[in-house]
Amino acid sequence: MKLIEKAVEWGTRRSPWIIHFNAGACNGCDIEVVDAMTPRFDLERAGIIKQGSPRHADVLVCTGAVSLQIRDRLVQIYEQMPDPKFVVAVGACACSGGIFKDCYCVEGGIDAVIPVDVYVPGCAVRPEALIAAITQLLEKLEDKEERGRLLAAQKVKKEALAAVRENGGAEYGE
Amino acid sequence: MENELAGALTERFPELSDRVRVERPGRVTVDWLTQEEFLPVIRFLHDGLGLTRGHNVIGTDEKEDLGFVYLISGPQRVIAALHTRVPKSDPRIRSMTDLYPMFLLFERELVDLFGAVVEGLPQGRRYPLPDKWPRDQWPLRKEWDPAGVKEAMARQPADLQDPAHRLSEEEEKEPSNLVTVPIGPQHPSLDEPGSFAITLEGERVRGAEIEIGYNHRGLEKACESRTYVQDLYIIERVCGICSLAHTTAYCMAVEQLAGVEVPIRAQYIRLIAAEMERLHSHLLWLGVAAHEIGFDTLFMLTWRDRESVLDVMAVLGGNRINYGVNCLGGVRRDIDAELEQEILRVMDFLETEVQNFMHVADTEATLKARLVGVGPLSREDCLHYGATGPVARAAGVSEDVRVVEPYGAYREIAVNDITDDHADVYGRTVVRMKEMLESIRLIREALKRLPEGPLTVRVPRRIPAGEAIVRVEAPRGENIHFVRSDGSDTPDRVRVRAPTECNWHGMQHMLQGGYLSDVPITIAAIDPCYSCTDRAITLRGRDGKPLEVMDWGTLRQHGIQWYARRGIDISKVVL
Amino acid sequence: MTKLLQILLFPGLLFLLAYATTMEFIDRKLYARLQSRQGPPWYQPIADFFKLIGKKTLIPAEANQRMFRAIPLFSLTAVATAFLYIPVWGRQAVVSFEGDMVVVLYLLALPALSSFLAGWYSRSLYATVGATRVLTQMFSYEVPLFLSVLAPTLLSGTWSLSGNMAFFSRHPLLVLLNLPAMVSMLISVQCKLERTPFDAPEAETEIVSGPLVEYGGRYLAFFHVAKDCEVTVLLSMFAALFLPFSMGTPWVDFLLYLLKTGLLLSLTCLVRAVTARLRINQIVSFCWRYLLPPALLQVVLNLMVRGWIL
Repeated sequence: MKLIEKAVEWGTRRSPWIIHFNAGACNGCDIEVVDAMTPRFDLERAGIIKQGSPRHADVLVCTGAVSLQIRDRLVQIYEQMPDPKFVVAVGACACSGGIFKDCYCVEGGIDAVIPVDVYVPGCAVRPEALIAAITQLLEKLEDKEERGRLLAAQKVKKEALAAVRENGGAEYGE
Repeated sequence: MENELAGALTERFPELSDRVRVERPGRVTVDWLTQEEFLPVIRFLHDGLGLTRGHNVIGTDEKEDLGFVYLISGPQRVIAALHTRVPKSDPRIRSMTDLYPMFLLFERELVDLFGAVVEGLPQGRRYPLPDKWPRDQWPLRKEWDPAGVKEAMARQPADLQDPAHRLSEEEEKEPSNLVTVPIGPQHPSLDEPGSFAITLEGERVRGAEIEIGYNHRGLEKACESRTYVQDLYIIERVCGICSLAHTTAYCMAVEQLAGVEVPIRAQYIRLIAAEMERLHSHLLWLGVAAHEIGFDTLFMLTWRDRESVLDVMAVLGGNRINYGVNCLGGVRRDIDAELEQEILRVMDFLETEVQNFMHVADTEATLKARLVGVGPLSREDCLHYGATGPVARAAGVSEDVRVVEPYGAYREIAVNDITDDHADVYGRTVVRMKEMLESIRLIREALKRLPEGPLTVRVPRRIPAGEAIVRVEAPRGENIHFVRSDGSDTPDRVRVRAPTECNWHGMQHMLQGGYLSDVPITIAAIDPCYSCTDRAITLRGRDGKPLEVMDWGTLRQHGIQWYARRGIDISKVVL
Repeated sequence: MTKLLQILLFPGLLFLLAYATTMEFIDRKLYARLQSRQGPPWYQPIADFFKLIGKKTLIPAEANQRMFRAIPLFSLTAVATAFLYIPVWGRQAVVSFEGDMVVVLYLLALPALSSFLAGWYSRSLYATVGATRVLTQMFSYEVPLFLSVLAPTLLSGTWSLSGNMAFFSRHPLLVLLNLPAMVSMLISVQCKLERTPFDAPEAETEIVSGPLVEYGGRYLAFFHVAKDCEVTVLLSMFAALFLPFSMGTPWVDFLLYLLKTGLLLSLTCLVRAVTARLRINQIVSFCWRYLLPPALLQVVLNLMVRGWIL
């Protein structure tokens, strides 16, 4: 049993499948996320594949400041992903709202809506930075303590999210 | 030609003689008209003088009034800017969509952002604000206070229904064998959020509903509260792919208002950067299109070659995307001899590669099978829906701004007009490939002629009052920026009309009658840029039948009947 | 006892799993190299499998719970059983009887059917569209596939894969006669495996991933394994029927088997890399128009040859 657990843990680190979600970005980060799949960077070297269905994905790669129109969809996609799942916020806008922070139709960074595990700043984020971020996430997972902390923090945030949703979403995103 | 247009106008309407102005070549401005004066003027321009191409409708805030600027042009390529105003207390205007079908998106925007009441506007979903946005909040009015809007939105229940399902409540139900498949806002074929409800009969598309606007961030409002220099960085982030086209248009508009002339070397560098951007954008498009039809190898190879362009841009601007080459009054960075050699080397490399891709597109049977005849938009339809860029050029409509209204260094280096007569996705592919070769030629030509001189000229912090309408040719087509200054250091109004916004109007027509498999490639073929358009709208077909959304039982029955008609009985399958 | 070991270990189930995993790796690596990428490391299919095993499985509320769980195993079992009838070690399969080819063909129809059922029971729109596409495609490739598989048996006079292998090993020149059927089957196999240009049922950019869109976790893992095994089994069957060259020594034949299946895999991978995805209506018309005639021709040809010569 122990062996299978070990194998599963090893597999989780070696095969993170990502799903890409644009929450209202200018496109710059999005093309760089796709670019990371192409020959020069080739994320498949690290076992990373871009998936289409949230059910198949482990890592949600989010770009852009969350626009008010897409907020609910982002939560929906996040909830469709099976555990264990991780979120990477790619780009200055995804981290904090960036240049669009004060715009009337923008909610803020990704973490205003769903829990984020890794932040990748940059405008636009270079594919190298994205690769470094995902590698770092995987390294975090390797360390047992870090992994526990990560999952615990996720759990707390998810519970808060669920509570907010039950209250009719009145305080969506803090 | 602008004088002829102005003359014809004043001849027909002598009372307008003091309001018709010609300040720049290619532009005729007609100052504030009342609604009563406006209607006969635009009808005369449309019917009498043949100004049938609508470019944009821009809303402005005139303190007590709402202003509207209609941009239209005709075969002489002169843009007439008609100004009209109505009081805010009674903001009713007539919809111009019967004369200019391509105004649909722009007029919806007036409703949402300015609170105009547009009479005769076709029914449809709101645009471009979120579904839950309060109806009485108009963010682009100057007096608007953003406080309380998010709270008001949050009070409404989360709406996670697909657009197709939401539609069913509005539509009367009528038995049919149509199924509605929602595509988006998260979907592997869309790298950006947009939503499409595709109504299918079997695999055939019977109707399509387009909902965009997930990307609406409200950056035109943000521009009004920042200085001209700060705005440059916002405008750069309208779109990450064609960022240079936007900043070029914006800079040209501000420079025109400030009355400065950009140094000739800077104009050449802008041309080189713009053509590099076209190369990277078209290579990107080619890859995305190949990916949509499952040809991943072509996708990988085009993106591999695209890296070489990005490398050059990174050296030139310091960043791979959003390179920030432009600044007000010129360009930020220079091209030295070393970079020049590097660019020439990259051009040689790309020329062989593009020719290689053209060979593939010419000979690969499966590729042609998927592209030829897909997503047709004829010459007449292109004109009707106001399509622009490669979409229009693929149908033989030449509207390349670099040809019809050369700007910057294009005045010295002539661009060859590239058109095709396929009028389908294949034609759009061919046009884009040929354009890449043309871009390579232009870059070589510009490097050969690159004049010596300074890079920038000083632009004052406060820009004199005035209005500028500038258009440039972005990789996706005509890109129009409208900048109005009031003499301070912040603009009074900035309106970005990206090319994609024009091309959405014809989308419905292109999808109708095709196959479900062709939907992604047809959408991709206009090279949609959601962040550029950043609006939402519902488009229904001219013969748009009412839709019915099936529940699972009905769908299953439909499936059983479908197979039964083909001689297969699957009714015994127990669920 | 030996039989049981053969079925479970070599050349049965365990070998199939190991070889199928290797095949997936080779396929992905080659595909990546053809796209001028590096491709995944050698352990990637294994890592993917274990990762999926560890994921939580969400089953849509509307889906039929029991069927949702059972279908992937159903698919895997069918393919693994079919493999036992295919000669790998020497000219003789682990089990064989007169007429095992028909059994194999029907067992190999099951993955497509279970894929259809998976889509149907998931009750999601994309999955349903994918499911109907699977079935539509199946009706178009099964007939040419059956005809081109059965055509060589008209020469050999046996409906057993091992028997065929033995017969054609004795008459290697007759293999050349089967060329039309060989081409027809090769393309049908590509179609059956739903690989580009025939991957409309799982077209990622159109219907996300077709019938499997709602699957996740271990059930998806089983589907992936079943798919890999299907590739191996079909290519092995192709090798046994149309490339039946063997030396008679089991280990040499085994090496030849690896070589043959490896080459076939490279070929299908190459086709996958250089084509675009066809529409489902184009697939149907292609199958009936271009795959069926050579298969039929082969049947007529083989009947004539048999009448004259044998």
